[in-house]
Amino acid sequence: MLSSLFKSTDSSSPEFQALVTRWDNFLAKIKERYTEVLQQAEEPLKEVIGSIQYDTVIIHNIKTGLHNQAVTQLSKKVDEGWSKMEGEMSKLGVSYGLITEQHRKADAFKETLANEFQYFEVSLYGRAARQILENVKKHIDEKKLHSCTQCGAELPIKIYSFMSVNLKCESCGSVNTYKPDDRIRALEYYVITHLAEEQAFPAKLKAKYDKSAQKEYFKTYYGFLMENVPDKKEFYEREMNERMNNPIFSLGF
Amino acid sequence: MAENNNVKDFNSEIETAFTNAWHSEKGGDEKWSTFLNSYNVSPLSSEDKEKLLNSEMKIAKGAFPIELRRVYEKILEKHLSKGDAGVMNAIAGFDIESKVKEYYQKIKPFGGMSDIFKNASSSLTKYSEGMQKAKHSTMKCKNCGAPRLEEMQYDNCLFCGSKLFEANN
Repeated sequence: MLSSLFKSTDSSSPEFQALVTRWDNFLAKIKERYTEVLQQAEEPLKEVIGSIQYDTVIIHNIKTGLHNQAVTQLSKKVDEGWSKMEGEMSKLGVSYGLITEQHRKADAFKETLANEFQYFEVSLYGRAARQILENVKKHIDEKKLHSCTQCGAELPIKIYSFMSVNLKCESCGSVNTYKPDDRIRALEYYVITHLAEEQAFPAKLKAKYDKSAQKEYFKTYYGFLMENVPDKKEFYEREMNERMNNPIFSLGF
Repeated sequence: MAENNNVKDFNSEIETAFTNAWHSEKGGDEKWSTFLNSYNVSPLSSEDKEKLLNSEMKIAKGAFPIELRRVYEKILEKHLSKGDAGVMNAIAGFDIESKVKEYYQKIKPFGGMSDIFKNASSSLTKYSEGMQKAKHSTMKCKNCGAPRLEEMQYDNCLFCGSKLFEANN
């Protein structure tokens, strides 16, 4: 009587092996579905990227929908599948250790989905950012000369400024205020931050498992911003130092 | 309490019909036709199938819902004739409409992708519209017209002493 109550199926039992195969096949099918969703999205995404103008709002909206389909829904399916599988393993008398081992597959699988989607997201924003940069370049006349409003002397205005600047005319001393094109100002948020993230992403992935790589991520990310948004170099440098030295920011990884 | 065998049979037939329809090829196949015949249900004609396949109601797999509905009607007819009280209860609780609808949800093509793009399309250029070109100006005294001469000059005109910026009170 007692032996039947406490018997446990070992890992080599054919019934257990059959369940493991079923479980592995189930996870493989979910992975197939994940790939399918992103493949189906590729053509319409190309079309959208070809039509965007100066902002990535549509990319954000699409990304949210795709994340729901490819990560949230499929992870939910994994949990539902595991709940059934766990029930069957328990019925079979499989030991707690073996069940936990199979459960870890679900956790690892969901983490892989999330990481892969993060990579997809960063690349997607990168593609859109490059298209926007191209659009802005087409729109902006880089050779345009700017003259002082009072005396007409040429002013050394940088077209790619990201905030309004006051310039004192060397000739007459009047202060000229230059407000950059909104498209250029929008580059900072819709283009440069995404390209910075793309460049720093390998370090971000590494930092998930290796805390020492977090500084590398912040250095690459903010380094890119400081280089490409020189008007705000001091601001980004301050942010970088704060993130590198304040432990609260390590929690986001 | 042991489950009534007639009820068990009824539920099992309902589920078998559902699974067979679902697992059949798009628009039905040989196996599904044989299954239909076993209930004396005639499969749809090739012309009707063609019409339905080209209609707005797209299916990705499985037999047409109307064929499943006809099988359900036959199953209900068969079990009603038994006059078993348990089966009568089961039949009363069986909603053929929602079962057929549930089946259609299973066989309709995945439409999530087009919905995602359709919903997002309204924001394609929404935030790029109305962007302003670069502007270049000089702050001048409203009283005498003298230009601002210092970048940090936010108080009075250096020429006539009037206030350069008016406060909104």
